Amino acid sequence: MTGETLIQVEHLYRDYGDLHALSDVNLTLNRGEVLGFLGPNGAGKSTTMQIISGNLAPSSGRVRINGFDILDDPRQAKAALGFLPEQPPLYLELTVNEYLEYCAKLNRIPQRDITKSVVRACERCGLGKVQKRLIGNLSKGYQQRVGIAQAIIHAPDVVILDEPTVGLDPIQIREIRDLIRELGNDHSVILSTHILPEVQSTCDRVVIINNGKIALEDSLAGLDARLRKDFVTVSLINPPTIETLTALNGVDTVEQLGNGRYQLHCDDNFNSAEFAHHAVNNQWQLSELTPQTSSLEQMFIDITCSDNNTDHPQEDLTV
Amino acid sequence: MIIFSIAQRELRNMFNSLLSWIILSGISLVVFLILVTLVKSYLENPTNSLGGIGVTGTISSSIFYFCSYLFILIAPMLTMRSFSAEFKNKTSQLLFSAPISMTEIVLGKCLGLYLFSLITAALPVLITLSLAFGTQLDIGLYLSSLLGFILVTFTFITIGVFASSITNHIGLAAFSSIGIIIFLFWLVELLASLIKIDAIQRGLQYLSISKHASPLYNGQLNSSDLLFFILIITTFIVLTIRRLDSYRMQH
Repeated sequence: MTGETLIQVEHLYRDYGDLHALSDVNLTLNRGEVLGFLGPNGAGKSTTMQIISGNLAPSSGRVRINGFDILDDPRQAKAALGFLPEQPPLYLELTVNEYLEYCAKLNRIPQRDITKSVVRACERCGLGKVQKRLIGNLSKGYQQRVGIAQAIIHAPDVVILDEPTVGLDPIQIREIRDLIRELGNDHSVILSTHILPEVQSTCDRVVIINNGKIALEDSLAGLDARLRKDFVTVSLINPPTIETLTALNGVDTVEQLGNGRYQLHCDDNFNSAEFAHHAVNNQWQLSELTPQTSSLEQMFIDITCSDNNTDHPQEDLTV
Repeated sequence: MIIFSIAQRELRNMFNSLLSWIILSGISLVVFLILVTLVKSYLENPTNSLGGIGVTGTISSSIFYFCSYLFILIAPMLTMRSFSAEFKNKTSQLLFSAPISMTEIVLGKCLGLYLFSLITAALPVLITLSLAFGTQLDIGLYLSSLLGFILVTFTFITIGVFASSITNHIGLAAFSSIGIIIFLFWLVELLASLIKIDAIQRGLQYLSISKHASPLYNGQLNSSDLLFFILIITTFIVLTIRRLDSYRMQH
């Protein structure tokens, strides 16, 4: 999706003492886009979000929101930003209405528009029934909604949500996801999570971060295309040359796994029956034929577990 | 104005906490008891009770003077939650990601707490004003000692807010503000008397809060004392702002 760049993160570094939490993180977010920010625990997701929202200063690098630098022009930059931290910043002793009114004031919404903004945010987040209740007495799911309402109260261009579905039950998770998808219609959203289906169901684009480095950046469509590329594992007791296998209809590349096992990377033209027929005719003595589809999960694990190969994480992606 | 919104929030927060109400009722009780004792001893021996002059000097000023001692303990209890609790509950992130500056946050917090401390201060004021039913008060002396009490209170509050911005541990915030207050209230003078080098001695003496407050309790309004209070309050406000700015650097 092309459009105006709302968030631009350039060469972000952040060290905690000797620990390099982030190194050379680059990110862009366009208008009207939902960006999934994936990574295992401790990969640097929250650190990145904290830096983008101005809660943490980077060791070096810059963050621009809507063209304004978060450190040089914090007021303009933060005005375009709504942030839901990992732990929602709620005052438990306030009612939902009181809390959202305070948030509206903090975000410099003019006095006459405050009630309107609160009503609108409550409507969007389904808080209508609990507006007069104390936040401390609400369930975790509702508290999370109040957190999201807080982030969108001033209709910011960008909404940053840091693991918004952690600790919720499956029904609440689905509701929050629907809400996030809905937010994507008129806000740009960065959604950090380590839950993969969440990304597949809500995001336009995915960034995977591992060990403080960006390991993969692709659109969900591109990712899907990457995933759809199937491969087949075959075992042949009497194998032909690799060239013969590669020459077969629908086979792109062949990888030798040893002991007569091969991994065939194929496109849509590949047909297992045809291959089996071929193997019998040529007396290759086929003993295994396993079609495999790579999942996002498999890819995620491939990327994030390749610790000893972090310099070339892309290589692990040739699935 | 954003500062007033934060101040209002802080003020309402104070009224939400049980501690504030205990403090308010505690002060009324203690001040009332002291008033009764002082009035009794003044009636028995009007010429010399505590060395003050007249009813106002002996009773009202003494009560304000005593209250400022009381506030060494009370001010930290009012302020200890101001930033520590926000850090602890991570609600500070709400403030830090809103389009407001650290200065506005600190001024708002301080303003809210000043207002609450004024409400607290209103109790001894009302109790001492009750003397006016039976006798003629020296209004000049009364106002001057009240001003002394308020300035001392504001100073303590600001120190407390600073201490609260240092740590996310509420108890530690209270203890460290008591420490800083006691040091600046008395200990600097004690330290000054130990050091025989003239320049350092005078520098330390200048830092003493009680030294600048006592002329006010005696009805003496010096611009240098007022300047001292403005300086020390500003210093701790600036320190708090700096502290919040650097909060983003570490963790």
